[in-house]
Amino acid sequence: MNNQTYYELYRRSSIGMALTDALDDLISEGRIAPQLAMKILSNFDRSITEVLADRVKANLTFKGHLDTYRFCDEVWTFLIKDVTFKFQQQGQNQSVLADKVKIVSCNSKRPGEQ
Amino acid sequence: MPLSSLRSVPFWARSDRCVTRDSGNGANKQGEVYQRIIQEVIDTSVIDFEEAGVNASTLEELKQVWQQKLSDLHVAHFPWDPTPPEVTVPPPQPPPAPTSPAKTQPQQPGIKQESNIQNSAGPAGQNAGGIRIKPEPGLEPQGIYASPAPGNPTHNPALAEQRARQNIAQKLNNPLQVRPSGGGGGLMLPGLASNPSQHSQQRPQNGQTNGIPQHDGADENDDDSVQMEGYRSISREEADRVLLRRIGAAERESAKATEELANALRGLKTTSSSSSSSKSFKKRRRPKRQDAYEAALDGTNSYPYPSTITSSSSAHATPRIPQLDGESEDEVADEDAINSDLDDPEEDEIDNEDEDEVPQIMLCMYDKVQRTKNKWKCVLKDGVLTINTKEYVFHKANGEYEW
Repeated sequence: MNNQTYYELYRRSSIGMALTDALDDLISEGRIAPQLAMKILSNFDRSITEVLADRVKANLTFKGHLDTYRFCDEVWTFLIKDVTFKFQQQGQNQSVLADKVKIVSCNSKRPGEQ
Repeated sequence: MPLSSLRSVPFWARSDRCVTRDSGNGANKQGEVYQRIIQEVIDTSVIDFEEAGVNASTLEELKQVWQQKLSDLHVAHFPWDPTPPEVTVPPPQPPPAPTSPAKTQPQQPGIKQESNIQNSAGPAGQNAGGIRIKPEPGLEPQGIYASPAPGNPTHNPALAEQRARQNIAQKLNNPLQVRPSGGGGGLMLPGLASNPSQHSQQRPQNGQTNGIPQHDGADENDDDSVQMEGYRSISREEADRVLLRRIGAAERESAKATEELANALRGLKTTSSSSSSSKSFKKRRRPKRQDAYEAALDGTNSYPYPSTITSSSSAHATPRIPQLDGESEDEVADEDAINSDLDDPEEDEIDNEDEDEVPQIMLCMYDKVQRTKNKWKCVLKDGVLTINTKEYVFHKANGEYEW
């Protein structure tokens, strides 16, 4: 275990929400302490960051109209409308259209890493 | 390292087995990625559970619940889900024909039975629940009342009793001794609970009978004979006389009790009792009624019958029928109160999370964000993208968009 800190950003993903829900259930049933749940969530922060970095190879491009942007505390937030995603992996191409998407993006250079 | 080379990938989840494009690219892959994340979290949490002294079975349950909740979102297909996603032709559904008669046949008699019960329960409940008076010890003789003539509550001897009680209540001015019909729940009007269709008809009548006690004979639509407990069928005048006798007896009894109470109070409040007694004697002649404390102090009060007008002013307050047909009008919400619509926060689209379970969101890191005039270019990596209730993971993403 290292002392590196990890973003809590991914807790908002579906897998993070599912974990949070499951932990909430255990806490409300009095089966685990909230402190333990916090520890599990920080384990999750680390695991998802590492797995996304090490295991995922898929690339994608997207185009659209930027509706709103914000840069605050090293976090970019974009709201893009009429967006088209193109996935490229193993010679396959797939396009997905969406009327809007919100992007929350943290600096890949973590604090202190600069 | 390509995913398909991972040893833990189930054979059916490998991308080379993907048949359709839809299920092929993002979905399987990220199901596998998620399984790996879950496994890593669970593995690293074992020591934390041990340190916290929590049983390892709880950790296993956490994993199960986590996977279940993730599956419930239907953002992708996961290795732990029962059906493999590659199946292009769905397995033939078992024909519903053999199961449906078995299901519906026992249901039908059940439904019939229910409706039968409901049909028979209607009138039966009316009769049974029609007149159930909780006897007031000391005030009312106990007895079983005959069924009321259906439809017309004014025939009901229970109502006559109720009227008599209200009379007593108004005269004694003591809610403790006579229970109002609404609060005590002692009196149920026939058909009030069991027959909602009669509500509108009965309501004004109830209001009348409760508001102003009728001293001057029968209602207009009454016939002349009344049914009463202890009597087969007696004329209206006779019934009134009997009732008045009972009222008198009840009054004497309660007057005795009041006198005792007054004596006790006099012991407590010797100085004021003599003056207030003479004062209240004068007050009694005024149309305004005495307040309960003064009445109790007044030992000489013989409780003569008040005139109808006098009692009617107070009658509306004493007996109240509980409102059964909806919300009380007293509880109309104040529209300007706190937490009303006026308090809604201003809508900010970038902060406004969708109400859906699965929002349209990309969570990632950025390597580079560039802008030239209104053209934006960004390089993102290590992201999770949820779009159109499907979820994708990516290593790198290039975005171009104009503002």
